[in-house]
Amino acid sequence: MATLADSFLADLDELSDNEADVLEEENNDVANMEEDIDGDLADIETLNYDDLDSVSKLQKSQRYIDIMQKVEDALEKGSDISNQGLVLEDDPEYQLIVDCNGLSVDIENEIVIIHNFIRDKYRLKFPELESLVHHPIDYARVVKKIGNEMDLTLVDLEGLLPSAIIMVVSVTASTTSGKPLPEDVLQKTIDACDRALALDTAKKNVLDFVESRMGYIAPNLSTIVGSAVAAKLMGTAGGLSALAKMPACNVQLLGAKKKTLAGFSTVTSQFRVGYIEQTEIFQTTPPALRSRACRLLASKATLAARIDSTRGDPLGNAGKTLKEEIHKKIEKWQEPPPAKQPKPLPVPDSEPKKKRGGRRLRKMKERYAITDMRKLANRMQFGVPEESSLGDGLGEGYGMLGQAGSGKLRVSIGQSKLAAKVAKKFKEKNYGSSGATSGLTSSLAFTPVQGIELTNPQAHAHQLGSGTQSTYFSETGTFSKIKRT
Amino acid sequence: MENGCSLQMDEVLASVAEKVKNFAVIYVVDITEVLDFNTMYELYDPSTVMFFFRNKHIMIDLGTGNNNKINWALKDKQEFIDIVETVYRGARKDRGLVIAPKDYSTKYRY
Repeated sequence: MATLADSFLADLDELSDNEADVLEEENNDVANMEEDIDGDLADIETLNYDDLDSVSKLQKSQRYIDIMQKVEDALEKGSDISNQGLVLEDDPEYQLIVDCNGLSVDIENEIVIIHNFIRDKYRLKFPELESLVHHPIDYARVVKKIGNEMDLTLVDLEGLLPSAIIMVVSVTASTTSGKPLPEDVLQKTIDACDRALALDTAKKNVLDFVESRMGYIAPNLSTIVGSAVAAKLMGTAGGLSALAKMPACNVQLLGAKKKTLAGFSTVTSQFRVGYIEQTEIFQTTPPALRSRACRLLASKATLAARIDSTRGDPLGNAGKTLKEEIHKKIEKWQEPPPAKQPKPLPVPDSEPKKKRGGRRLRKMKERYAITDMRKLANRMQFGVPEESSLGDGLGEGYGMLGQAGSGKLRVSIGQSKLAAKVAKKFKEKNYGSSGATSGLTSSLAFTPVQGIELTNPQAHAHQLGSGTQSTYFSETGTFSKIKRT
Repeated sequence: MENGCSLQMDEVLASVAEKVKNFAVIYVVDITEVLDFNTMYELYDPSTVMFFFRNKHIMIDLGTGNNNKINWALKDKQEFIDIVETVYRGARKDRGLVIAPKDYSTKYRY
C-alpha cells in the first residue's frame, strides 16, 4: 500500500509538471511578451538556464497580473454575499475563484521550477543544502540569507528553520566542498529567490481570498473541514469539480509532506495525512484513533465536495449532518467494550465434536495409518500356515509377508495416497523395480519354497488395492457394471 | 464446625448454580425442617450432596467407600462442576454408577 500511495503522490507531481508545460504554452499565446520564446518549450531541460526569465514566465504573464489585481480588489472590498439565487457558474466571483484555484496550482509549479533554478546555481556553492532543506520557500530564504558567505557562524538562520536543522546545516557547511559564486551568478540567484518569495506571498493572498469566499462557494465542505483547509484542498486539487472527481483516498493525501530528513526518526511522523491534518476534528481526536479519523474525514469531505460541486445544497445542511455523523462515529470508537457476561456451561455431549478434514489432517492420519506391511501380516492365505517370529505358531504371525507368491520379502514403507499422485507422473521411471522405491530392493525375491523368484510388477497391484482404493480411475480397471438390455 | 462445613458447601453450590443451569438444578433442603428423607438416605452429616436424574438416584464412585453421596464440603468449584458433568453424562447413558474424575479416598489427609 505504501508504494500505491507513493505512486499517487508521484502522479500528482507529474500532473503539475505536465500542466506547467501546457500552461507555459498557453501563456505565450495569450500574453504579449517581449522576450524571445525558446523554440522547444516542452522540454524544460533544454532551456537556457542562465536567464531566469526564460525559465519562469508566470509572473510576467497577463493572466497572472489580471487575476492578482482582481484578488487584491476583492480582498479590499471585503466579503459581500453576492446574489445567491444565481446559478453558480454565472457569478463572476465564482469564475474568479476558479481562476484563482488554477493560478495557485500554477504558482506552485512555478515555485518548483524556480527552486530547481536556484538549486542548480547554488550547487557550486553549497551542494548539500538541497538535501537538508527540502521545502522550496525555506530553501530560497536560506540561500538569500547565506548569500556568498563561507563561514556559517556569521549567518543567523534563526527563525527560518528549526534549530535542529540549523545545526545540521552549519555543520555541513563547515565541511562543504563548495566554492563562492561569481558576482553575476550570485545576483541571478538572489533575484530568483526574491521572485520565489514574491510568488509565495502572492499564493498566500490568493488562498486568503479563496478562504474568505469559501463559505459561499462550498458551504458543505467548509462546515466539515473548516474554510482554510477547504481552500487549500481546492487550491491543490485545481478547482471544486476537480476535487469532487478525486477518490477519497487521494483527497486524504492532498498536501502530504514527503518523507522526513534522513537520520531523523520516522516513528513520530504522521503516516499519509495531508491538509486533513489541520482540521479541527482531526486535532481533537486522540492519537490512537487518528488514522481512522483521517480516512473518515477524507471520505465525508469528498462527499461534501461532490454535493457542493453540483450545488445540491446551498445552505450547507448536508455538511452539518455529515459533521454530526463524524462526531458520532468518533465517539462510538471511544466507547469502552461491553462488560463480559458470565456464560453458563453448555450441556455436556449436546454439541457434536467438530471433525476437521483437509489435506493437513489426512497427512497427519497417514502417520498412524495401517501400513501395507501390517496389512500383509494381518492376512493369511487359505490353507497355508503362516510363519511366525518364534517359529511353530509361537510369537507374532507374519501372515502374507514373505509367502511364496506374494512377491515381496522386503516391503517398503509404502507410499501415501497423496504421494501416489506424484508417483503416477514418474511411473515410467519405475518399470523393473516392481513399485518399491527403496534402493535396496531388487526385482528378485527369495522365497523359501521356490527359491529365487522373479516378480511380476503387476501382481502386487491387485493384492491390496480393491478394498481400500477406488478403481474408478484405475488404469487397469474394467467396466463395473454392464446391463443387458 | 458443622456450620462452617455446610456454609462452605453452600457457597460453592451457589456460585456453581448459574454455570450448570443448562443441565443441572440445585435444591437446598434443611434436614431439620424436612425430616421425611432422613432415615431413607441416612442424612445426618452437616452437608450432604446427592444426585438424582429423572427420579433415579445416581451413585458416584468417589473412592471414599460411600457411593451414594458427597458428605463433606468440597472447596473447589471446578471439581464440583466436573462431578456434576460426569454424573450427567453417565446418567444420560442410563448408568446407575459413575466414576468421579478425582479420587477422594485421602480427603482426610491434609
